[in-house]
Amino acid sequence: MNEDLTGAEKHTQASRLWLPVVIMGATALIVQVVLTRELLSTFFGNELSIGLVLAAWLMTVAAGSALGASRSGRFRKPADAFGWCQMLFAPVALLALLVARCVQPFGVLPGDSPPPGAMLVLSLVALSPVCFVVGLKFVLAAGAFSRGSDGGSKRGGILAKVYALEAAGAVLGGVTFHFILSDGVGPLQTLAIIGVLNVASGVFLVRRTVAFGLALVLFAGLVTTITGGRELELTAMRASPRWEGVELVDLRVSRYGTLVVARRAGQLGFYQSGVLAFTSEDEQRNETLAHLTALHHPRPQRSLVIGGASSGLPEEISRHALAVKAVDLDPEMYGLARRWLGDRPGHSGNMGVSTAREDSHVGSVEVHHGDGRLYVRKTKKEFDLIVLNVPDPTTAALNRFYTVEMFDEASRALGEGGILAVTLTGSEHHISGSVLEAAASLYQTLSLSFEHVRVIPGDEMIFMASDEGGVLESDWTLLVERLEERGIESHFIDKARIEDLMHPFRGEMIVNAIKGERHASLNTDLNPVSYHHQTRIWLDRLSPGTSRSTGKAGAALYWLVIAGFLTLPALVLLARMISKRRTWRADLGVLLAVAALGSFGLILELLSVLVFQAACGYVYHSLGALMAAFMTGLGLGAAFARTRAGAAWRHWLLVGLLIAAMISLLLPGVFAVVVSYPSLALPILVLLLLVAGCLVGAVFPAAVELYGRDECSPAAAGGSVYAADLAGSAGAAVAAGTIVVPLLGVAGTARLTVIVTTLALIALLMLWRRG
Amino acid sequence: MGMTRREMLKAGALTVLGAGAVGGAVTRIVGTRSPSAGRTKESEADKWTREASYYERLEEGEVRCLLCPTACELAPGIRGACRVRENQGGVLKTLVYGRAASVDIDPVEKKPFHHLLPGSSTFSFSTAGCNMSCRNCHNWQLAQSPPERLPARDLQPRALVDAARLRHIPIITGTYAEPLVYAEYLLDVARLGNEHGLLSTMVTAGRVERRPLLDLCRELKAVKVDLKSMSEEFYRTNCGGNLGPVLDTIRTVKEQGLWLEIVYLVIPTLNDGDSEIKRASRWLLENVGPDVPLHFNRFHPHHRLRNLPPTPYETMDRCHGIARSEGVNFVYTGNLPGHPAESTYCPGCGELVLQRRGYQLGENHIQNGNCAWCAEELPGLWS
Ligand code: SF4
Repeated sequence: MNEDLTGAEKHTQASRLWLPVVIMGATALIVQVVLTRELLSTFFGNELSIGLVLAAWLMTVAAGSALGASRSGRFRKPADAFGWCQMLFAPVALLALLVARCVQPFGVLPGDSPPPGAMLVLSLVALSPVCFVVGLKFVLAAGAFSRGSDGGSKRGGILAKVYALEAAGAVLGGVTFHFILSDGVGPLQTLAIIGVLNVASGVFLVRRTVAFGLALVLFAGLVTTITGGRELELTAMRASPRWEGVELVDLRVSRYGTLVVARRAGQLGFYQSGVLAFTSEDEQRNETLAHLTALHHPRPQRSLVIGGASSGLPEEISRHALAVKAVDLDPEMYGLARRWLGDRPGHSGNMGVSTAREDSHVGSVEVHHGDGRLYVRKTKKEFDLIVLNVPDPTTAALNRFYTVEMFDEASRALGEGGILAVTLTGSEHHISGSVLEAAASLYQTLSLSFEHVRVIPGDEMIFMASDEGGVLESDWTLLVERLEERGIESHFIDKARIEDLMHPFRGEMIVNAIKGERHASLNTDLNPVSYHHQTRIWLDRLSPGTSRSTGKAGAALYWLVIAGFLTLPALVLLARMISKRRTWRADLGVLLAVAALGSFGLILELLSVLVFQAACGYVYHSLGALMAAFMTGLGLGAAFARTRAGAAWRHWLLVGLLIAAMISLLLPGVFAVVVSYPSLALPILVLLLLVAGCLVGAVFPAAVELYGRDECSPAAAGGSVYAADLAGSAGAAVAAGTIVVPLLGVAGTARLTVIVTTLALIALLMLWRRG
Repeated sequence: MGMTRREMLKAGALTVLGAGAVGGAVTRIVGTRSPSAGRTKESEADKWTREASYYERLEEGEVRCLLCPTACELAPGIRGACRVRENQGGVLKTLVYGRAASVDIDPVEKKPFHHLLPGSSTFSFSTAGCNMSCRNCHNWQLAQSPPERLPARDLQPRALVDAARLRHIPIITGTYAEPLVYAEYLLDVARLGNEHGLLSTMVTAGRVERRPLLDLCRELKAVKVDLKSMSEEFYRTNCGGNLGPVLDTIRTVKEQGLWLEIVYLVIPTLNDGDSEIKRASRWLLENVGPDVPLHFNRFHPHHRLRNLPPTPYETMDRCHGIARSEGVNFVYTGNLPGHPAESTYCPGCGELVLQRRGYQLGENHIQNGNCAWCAEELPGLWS
């Protein structure tokens, strides 16, 4: 294969490849994050859409890798082909961004979200070219290293090198994105910056006149994009049908997403990652929530608002002569709101003659930037009113604000007679099905932490909880008295509206229905069910009744079908590739084992994030550390395997699965320790992920060594094994994220992973015996 | 390796096609399960099942529903698009007679009726079902579910009328989902209500055939119709309906002499253009005259349109201004308490005659249906 190169040339070629492969790993990770964020903006991301986008990414990379593997023999100069792919990666990634931003799924109106099928297709359309190149590059890099190696190099060792370098690149990319690019650099600019690196590394490998010419053109385009800055980003956004009919007036990039201010008819809308966060004309929502809750307390002095510091709600609550603390994660959004709304956010002053309000009692608002849950945890007996002003728990990340643990912490942060207020999208006149389940679950979860819970039905239902009897039972006339006593003038909350909302007959059917669901599932940190309820509500909105008839088993089936579907094509592709070979049974065993380990890795990452949240109450700042630990482990494991030439690779695979099963078995215990000793959470989980990463990383070269035996090249073997790894992860991404974790909880999911890895072990043994 | 390029392409294409189909397909499979898997037992459901009043028999046991323009042709065992009418052995049955899935007491201003006993309460009720599927529906669970899936109260017409009388509520309103799909139930409630001096009304999107509408007009006293847009395209894409029948309904209700009010929900970017508002105003002027109140209601993000902002105040003012300048006498803004256009002004002298703030009434200068300032007769049912 490499007989046409001299030893010195081989050495040079191999050493030239190191940096481009690291760049490949780094840029692939950054492109994945940028494109995922962009697609989620189009889909107004819930947990299902996150799973689908991740699965689409993994699946198409797997397909690219599998295809590359099947055609690896045709690349006579894989290093050159790799270089060309590196160069083309930049324009392909930019194109993917534009597709993700501009393609409006057919039949989806502005403001609506597409159904899951359309999400998947759109993700595949946007991501396929770029992912395909990512998958292909892996195979080409393996081919190039193999040509650059001396004949004695084991192919497992070659692949281990590529895998380790790619993992190192991913760690580097993650760190760069987290600390440099995520704050202030827009998606277009980010892709252009990493595009420059790609083009440079590509031309470094190809070194031909035509490549230099192409590189010059690409550099010119990329540099223009980088220097275009915010204006160019805004111009590109304006091209999207998503923003039709509004004027985009400002844009910021924070580490929590792209922030956009859009104006229409004098109203300013503030969007975070494409999702409407609040507008300049939200008086109705703010007044309703602020006054209905604050009026229940006889003498509110101090209040805490978690989330939405710039929405205007804290100011509205402060009108009850309160000192209000508002805790908000994103200082960028707050700054943007100040810039456009001044110091009266949420009050546009456009409401005609009766806007001016002369309040005699206006309290103060102090904004604190940080994690709301962490803030609550550190507070004791301080507040009379805590208002949870965060969106519905549509994702696992939001779910943590609605758990028993969070409510316990809030209960401790409240003073005597204090009230916690939580909202959930509902209905004013009727409740049933998935919406009822979600509401009942919240009711039961709150009831576990508080003695008394009151529900006020509405399009946004308000749940109030308190430990003191009598506080929440206030008659509507008492609330009206307090409104008058406090001299509060409100557009939306007055005597008639209070009577309408609080009259005993009002919403009776809804309240009784919610209270009647006594066996509603409880939402806890380690058994997060609320985001699953929200996914079901979303499905019901798209096609009424979809989720309710399924029940738990049906829901599981639903998601497993989708997960299986996502995983199968890659596996079928691989199965067909190996079916003609003598060693197909053995190879199938290898691929199954790798897919099982891929899903083990992904599930471990997912569970670690959830458990860390449970233990520490926040995750944003440590998410990077957790992910980096796993990626570093992958690199270290692969690098270690490289040094073990001639090892008994079969044993590695068997032992790898065995260790994975054992780690999964120990997980519930480890997680219990983590939750009990939060100060140890980060070191324990980092260590766990490092070890798991090492395991998966070390098994990869072993699998490559075993796959195809003498019948296929290192590149083909590497591509196939890589594809199986990704396919396993893709299936796990959908299945675990959407159904398994909510259904089985963290401990149950860990047990399921024991079963999956053990079954893979048994299958491997059987297939090897027969093969 | 063992795979040809052709096979590879086939596998790729299948992947993409299948991926697109999977969401929809699984949704469909799951979604078409027998609705009887719901909460209500069959025997219980019988008491709410009645032969429908508007249908014709076709061949081979099929029936055609004549209640709304969807004109469902149903084989035995099949439900109509509204989910509450079913062909049972060649007989079309309504499944929601007395099956109240939502009951509440609302201020009449909330419906909104601004010229109908201001300050009164109304006994509101609804069953499941609707013959449209608006993406901004506030009652989507009610409207888009088959009745078996909803907890319901048995509230036969007599019990319903008694409940209203017991609470001294003068108005009964079929509302929330679409009252037309429970026409038989509403008709009997209205008949009984009439016997006891109660005013029966409905809040409807107006997609109904003429005959059932005329029957309803004989018993009801007031109707509020949602005019969702003046565009067929909007009706088709956002509502799963069509505009023509709605306009016919508005005309018929007026011709039949019922009190009529119109609501136009202003949804940013979808139906808020100047020309559309102008067309709606002109059509109303030409077909039902200047005295039919026109309410522009403010949209709030809901159901599937959760990522659209609420209607800007400026847009509300603009819509109000257009309709007034076109010559509509009573133009109101809704869901915007404190806005001056919530109140009623005399078209004769321009003075404030009835002040409103949300559901709360303020100054009242209406005397025996006339303006206290200039004695102009004010259209409506004031007492
Ligand atoms: S009322 Fe229902 S069954 Fe009758 S035609 Fe309309 S949608 Fe079909």
